[in-house]
Parts: sequence; structure tokens; C-alpha cells
Amino acid sequence: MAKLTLSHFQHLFSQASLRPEEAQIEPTLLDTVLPGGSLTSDHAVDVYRTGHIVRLTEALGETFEAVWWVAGDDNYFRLAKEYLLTHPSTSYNLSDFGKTFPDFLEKKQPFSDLPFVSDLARFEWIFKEVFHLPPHTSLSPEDFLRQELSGDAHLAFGSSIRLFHSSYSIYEIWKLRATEQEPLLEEYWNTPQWLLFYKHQQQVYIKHVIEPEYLLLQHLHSGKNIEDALTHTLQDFPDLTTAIVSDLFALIKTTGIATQLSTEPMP
Amino acid sequence: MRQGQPNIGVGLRPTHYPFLEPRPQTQVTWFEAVSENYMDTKGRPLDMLELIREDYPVALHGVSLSIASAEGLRPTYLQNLRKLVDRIDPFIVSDHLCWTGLNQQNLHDLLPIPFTEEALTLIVEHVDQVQTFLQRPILLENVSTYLQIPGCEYTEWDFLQAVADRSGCQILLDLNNLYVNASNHHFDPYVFLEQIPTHIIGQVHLAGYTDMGTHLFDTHSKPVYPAVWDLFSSLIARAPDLPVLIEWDEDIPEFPQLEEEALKAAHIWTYHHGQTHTQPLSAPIFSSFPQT
Repeated sequence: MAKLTLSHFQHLFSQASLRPEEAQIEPTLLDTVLPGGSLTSDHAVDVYRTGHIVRLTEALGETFEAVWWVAGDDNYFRLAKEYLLTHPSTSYNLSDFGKTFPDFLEKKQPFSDLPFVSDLARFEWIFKEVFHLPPHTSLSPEDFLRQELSGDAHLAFGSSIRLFHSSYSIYEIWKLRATEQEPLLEEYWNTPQWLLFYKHQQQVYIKHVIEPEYLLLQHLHSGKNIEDALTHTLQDFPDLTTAIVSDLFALIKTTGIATQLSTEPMP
Repeated sequence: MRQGQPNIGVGLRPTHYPFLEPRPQTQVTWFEAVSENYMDTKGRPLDMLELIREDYPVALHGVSLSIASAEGLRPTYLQNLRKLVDRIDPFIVSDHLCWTGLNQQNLHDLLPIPFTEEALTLIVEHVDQVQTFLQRPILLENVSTYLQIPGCEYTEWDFLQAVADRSGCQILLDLNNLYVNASNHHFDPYVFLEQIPTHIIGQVHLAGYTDMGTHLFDTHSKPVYPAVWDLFSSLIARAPDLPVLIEWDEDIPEFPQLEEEALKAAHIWTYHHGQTHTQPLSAPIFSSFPQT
């Protein structure tokens, strides 16, 4: 160790832990370690390299349980290893690892027969985020009644609200993740869906909405007042009806996702 | 912590939340929570920790402080740790005497350090920063290692003592890690134990390792081994007031089995210090040890 500073040692050790299996360990590092037990120097360094792969693969698997399930063990382990060696963790919190895994899967498109896999990963990341967010105090149905839902009214939503859209039936695939179901048939998953994630008393809920409801919610969630949100939704979805709008506001009331109603723009 | 009685705790793990949520009576006197599992959440885990805190003393035990990192401490980590400490009011805040990776390449492991003056100076400086920031002393745990770094100027036990003496922190002595290192690096664990003054020890960890054939590996996946109970017996005879924790992180058993492991520690305490501990054990701790 007299040859190496602490900083130099730590850099060499990190590089060795992140190297691909087939790559040689830096000889300077091997000269700097005394292996424990009956290990050789390279095997002793490999205890840490292997431990790193196992730990991050497990952490990724906890978040992306359904991706693991649809990919199967071999494919998941191969993808996880490639991802963790090319996207080192930079957070102190292991459960933060994997934020870019959905993008990695989208770029890589690892399975031609499972085109939904990156959307499934995105869904699982949202679920994890919502799980850790604080619950909010909902606007009560009485508050709704007390205040007029005029066109210039703005709604504020709880911080755990997330909107999710996919061309595939991601929620249904995700619900099967802990089952022994055989590989999914295309007719089962090849239907678009629009989802609302929200939290009530520390429980994560996921609700199906229809496309115009999703668009209107998206505009309201972005801070537009009701009139502007309706105008923008009508541009994308000219068949928007008063019944749909009425259903959406009923949904907002019953799920408790709104926290404030005001004629002033929300922060 | 209670004086004149065994203070045996267990780790708070999500797998036990459903058991603990109805607030059953348990045989343990305190819980230890992994700090990082509660620092960045406002969800159910934090609710559970606060629920447990209403009924038990809680220690916060970190795995990511990286006190020996040559890149320095992470300000965000310290700020979030302090928020959790302020919220939970733990009776102990601890982490490990190691580094865990680089800022852009966090390996999330408890990595070995050279026992040199350079490392000692850096660690003492970092401990001072942490203790000043948290406004309280911390404990640092000895870690299991699978390699050593030649050119050390200290033995591990002298290094631990020097860190404690120079920084004012205490040592969280993990007897499983001590045993693993003694086996892996061929030294007598009792020499280590005799050289560590008990006044610098603030807490004890007990856990199970895995024999990999070529080395012992710290897995926290099994009951405490008899040889580690022997070390515990030797230590607790001299230091009765130490809080003791059973750690189990892989293949975690049902809570009652974990309690059973905690009761073994209580029985050894009772053997040395003469108090009656009423809860019977379902099996002997190890063949040579007299049952109370």
C-alpha cells in the first residue's frame, strides 16, 4: 500500500469491481492486496465484483419485478448485468438504482416479441416513486360543493398523482407478475390504456381512465384552468362530451386526488 | 437503555411489517433500522418506523455514509440523515468503518480500507464532520473483509481504538465480522477482543456467516454460530450494559424465530449476570454452554 494513496487504491478497486468478467484486473491492484482465506488475489477482488453484480441485480429486480418475470431469469440477468456495468449507481440509496432502466430497454429493444417491456419498466418505476411519496389531504366532496366549478377555476392535485399511457395493456401484464402464467398471448396485451396512479392512506391505487379523461386530467394537472383544459382537450379529442367531463369530475371527487380548488393559478 | 438487564434488539425489516403493525408484545427491547431505507421515503416504511418508535427505542444504522471515502462525504446524505435523526430521535446512530464506492460509481458494498495513518487521519476528519453536523456522537462498525491491503501501520483492533480515541466516536463491534476476519486473515479473535477496551464499544452485532469453502462470507443469512456466541459470552461477561443486536438480512425467518435468537443472547447475559430470564429456549444455544 505504500505505493498507492488511498484515493488511487479506491479508484483501482472501483474499476476492478465494475469491469466485465472477461477483463483482466489491473496488476497494480493485484500487487496491493493480500487475499483472505484460501483465495487468490484475483478471486478475492472478484468476491467484491460478484457481490456488486448480485446486489444491484437484486435491487433492480425488486423495482422491476414484472420486467424480470416477462424476460425470464436468463434474459433478465443478462440485461441487468449489462445495465449495471454501463450505468453505475450514483446515488447513496440503492433503491434509486434503475431510474434510466426503462430508457435503456427502449433503446435496446431486447425482445422483438415483447415490445411493451420498456413501458412495463416505466410503469414499475412510477409505482415505486408513488409508493414512497407522502399521502396528501384531499379536497372533500363538501369542499367541491361549496366552491363553484367555474371555467376559470384551477385544481391542485396531490404530489403522488401520476398519469400513464401505453399502447399496451401494461397494468394487466403487471398484475400477472407473481403468477405462473405462461408467456402472454398478443391479443391479451395489445390494447392501449390510460392510467391514473394515486395514493390514499399510504396505499397505491391505479385506475383506468378513457383517453379524453386522461387528456383533460393531463391539462388540469399541468395547471390550466378548467376552461383552457377543456379547450385543449377538445382540440385533440373533438368528441368530448359533457357526460365524459362529468364522469371525470366525479372521479376526481371520489378518488380524492385534488387538494385545492381556486380561481387563482396554483403554484 | 435498561441497566442491569439484557438489552437485546433485532433489525426492523419490511418482511416483518405485517407481524409488527398490530403492535404485538415481543421479546425484544429495541429495534435497529437501516437509515437509508427511511431517509428518502414518506410512504409506508416511514410510517412503520414511527409506529415502532412509539413503543421501542430505535437505533439508526447506515450503510452508505462511506466514512473512509477519499472523495469526501456527501452533503445531501448528511442532510437527509439529520432529518431522519431529528424525526426519530434514535438512541444510537451508526454506520461502518469502510468506504462504499466513488460518487459516480457507488458499489453499495462495505469495502476494505488500509489501516494506515493516511486513512486514519481522513476518517477522523470525516467523523468530526459528521458528529458536528449531527450534533451527536456516532458509532462505527468493523466490517468483514475478504482481502487485506499490505503496508498497514496498525492492526485492525489498534486502528479501531485509534479512530475512537482521536474522534470521540464509539465502536459498534460486530462479533460475526470479527470472527469472519479472524478466520479469513488468520488471527486469534480473542486477541482482538482482549485488545479492544470495552469503554469504546457502544453496541454489539451478532449474525450468521456462510462458509464458501475458500473463505467465510458475511451473509447475515443464518443463525449465529456457536463460535460467535462464545465470543459474545466472553465480551458480555465484561460489558453487561451493551445493547446487542441480532442481524438477519437474507433468508429472513418469521419474527418468532428471530426473537428466539434474541433470547439466546439474553440467556447468555443472564448466565453471567445472574438475573432471571423467564422465557424458555426451544433449543440449546450450543452444547458446551450451560442453560439457565
